[in-house]
Amino acid sequence: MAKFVIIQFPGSNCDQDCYHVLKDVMGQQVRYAWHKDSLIEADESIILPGGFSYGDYLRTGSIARFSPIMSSVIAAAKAGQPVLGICNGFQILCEAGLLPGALVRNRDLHFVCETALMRVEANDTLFTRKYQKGQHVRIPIAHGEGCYVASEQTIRHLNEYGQVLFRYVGAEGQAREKSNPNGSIANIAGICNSEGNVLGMMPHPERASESLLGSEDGKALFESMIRSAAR
Amino acid sequence: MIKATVTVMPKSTVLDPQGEAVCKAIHALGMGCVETVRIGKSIKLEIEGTNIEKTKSRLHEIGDSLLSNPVIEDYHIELELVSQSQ
Repeated sequence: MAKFVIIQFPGSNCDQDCYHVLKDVMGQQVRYAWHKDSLIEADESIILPGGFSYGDYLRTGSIARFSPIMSSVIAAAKAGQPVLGICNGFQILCEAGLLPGALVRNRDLHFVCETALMRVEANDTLFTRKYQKGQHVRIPIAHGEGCYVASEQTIRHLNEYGQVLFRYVGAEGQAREKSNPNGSIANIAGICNSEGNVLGMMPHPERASESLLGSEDGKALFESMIRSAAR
Repeated sequence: MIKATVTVMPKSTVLDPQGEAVCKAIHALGMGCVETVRIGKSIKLEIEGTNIEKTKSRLHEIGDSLLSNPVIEDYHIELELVSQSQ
């Protein structure tokens, strides 16, 4: 059985969805950790859930990045423990410097809430091993600031070293501008660090892990993490 | 006391959709002479003490770590020494 810890910041609102999927749907051992805690066990996979930590004041994720628990998260990430940041969690990981780049206001200034089609770009990671490379998945997105930006050099590096794990595509399978819901550079929906143990993604796999919710395409992500933890 | 203003602006290379929307609205008002609009934020602080240099270096620490994200934003600091009686 894999062990997961879900970090709760003031304003997190997808923490219970993640807990439900891991505990009730996947049957794993899960606990919450409050942002003022600092203890993370060496065998735990860490999840930074979606939401509006600290009201998204100043910039998304900027205040959460300085929460007491974040120094433990950073230390665990550097020690190689799996860290998954979903939506607001992705923004926090970028602010904390665990992932390169940043998330800014969506290109069209709208909050987008829809089911996005994505292509799995790499399946040789602990987060995507249960997917096929090139597989198309339908996972919901819900964000106002999900436009991924980074320097040209960073984007080149991410592409070259297979660190882009999910990319928005159209039904025809191409990563075109019209299939890009937020203006992210190169249609990026999710990236991992160069060591492959930290993933940040704007889509919500926890909202696509039960057929009742219309898609089970996000489930393989949690299954991949569970399989990795079991090794 | 020192009053400080930290102005944070999106880097020129970063798309500013908010600025673009406002620019279009200005054009709709008939003022086509406005070529670009960029929107940032202004953060005002009141700081204990009178040592401008020391305050400036502390503010840079805050500016680099919390008030701005160097990936997407630039910032500058203006300081003003004000007397306690003000």
